[in-house]
Amino acid sequence: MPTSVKLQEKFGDDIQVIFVECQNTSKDVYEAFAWKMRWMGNAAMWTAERPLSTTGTGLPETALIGVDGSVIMQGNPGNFGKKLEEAVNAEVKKAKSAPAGTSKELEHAWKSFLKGDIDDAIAECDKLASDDAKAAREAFVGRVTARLARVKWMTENGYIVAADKEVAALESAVKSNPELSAKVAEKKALLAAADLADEREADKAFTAFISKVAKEKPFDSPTVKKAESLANKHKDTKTAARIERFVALSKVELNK
Amino acid sequence: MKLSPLLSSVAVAAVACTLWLDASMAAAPAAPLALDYTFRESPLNGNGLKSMAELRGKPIIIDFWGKN
Repeated sequence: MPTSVKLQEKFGDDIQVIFVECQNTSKDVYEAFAWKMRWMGNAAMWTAERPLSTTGTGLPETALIGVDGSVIMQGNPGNFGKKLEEAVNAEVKKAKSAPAGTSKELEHAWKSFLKGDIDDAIAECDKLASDDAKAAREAFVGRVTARLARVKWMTENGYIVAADKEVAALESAVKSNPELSAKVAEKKALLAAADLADEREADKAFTAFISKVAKEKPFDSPTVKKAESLANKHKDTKTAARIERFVALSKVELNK
Repeated sequence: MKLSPLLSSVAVAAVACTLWLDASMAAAPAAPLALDYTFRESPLNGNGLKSMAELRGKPIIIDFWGKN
């Protein structure tokens, strides 16, 4: 198992692993391969787009991007030894504090924001009213707005469990801010729509199924049969289409 | 104390060289930021992630890999 999968599972939501396929393998083949290798079932993301250039030293290659967006280390992960995990650990600690260079007056606002108390963070910025405070407020609102955009995408694409979870977290975090709480309420109302009830049940069932089979033998015949019956039970939902894709991936010829 | 014309020229050249180095260092680009990238298609498991900037504040590991 690649070290990155282990790190994603160890650090959970505190870090983000992005796997970038670099050999022009088709999406079906690399996704099926990752399932077969039991690398799925965690928060890691998968793409063939390169957000960062490789150094050209061959594959695999790993880059660690720090909380400030700079590349901290990049190269063959085999040469990193324990240094990668140590650096990740240090960055996870940094992520819980205000960004480097934050003025003393804004430390409280950042601390509140990073704890999830967005109301308090914004109220503190409004109280200070300096240029730095305005910039911090903008950053906080920007991050909430990006989260709301993702909730919209999740709702439209059948990822209802994750959307519900995110809306619940945002609802308590921005309850005293009229502008943001109105936006969260709007998303909550969309999620409460009657026509999403079936989608929610389907997503719950498939999420539970994945967490059970991802680390076993996901493409074994009995598991695939269970997936087929799950897709049938929840037919006409977006989740059913995802389950059908899982079934199709189980049949992909990996040596193509 | 009076400097010879030769020593004066060397001193002027040294100061100019130092100023030039300072200027060129100040003009050097900042460390590359990896968060500028916008995805054409949201990554699998990305839950609608559109750009790397949305991950700002979180450590990110990019694992470049190939099946073969």
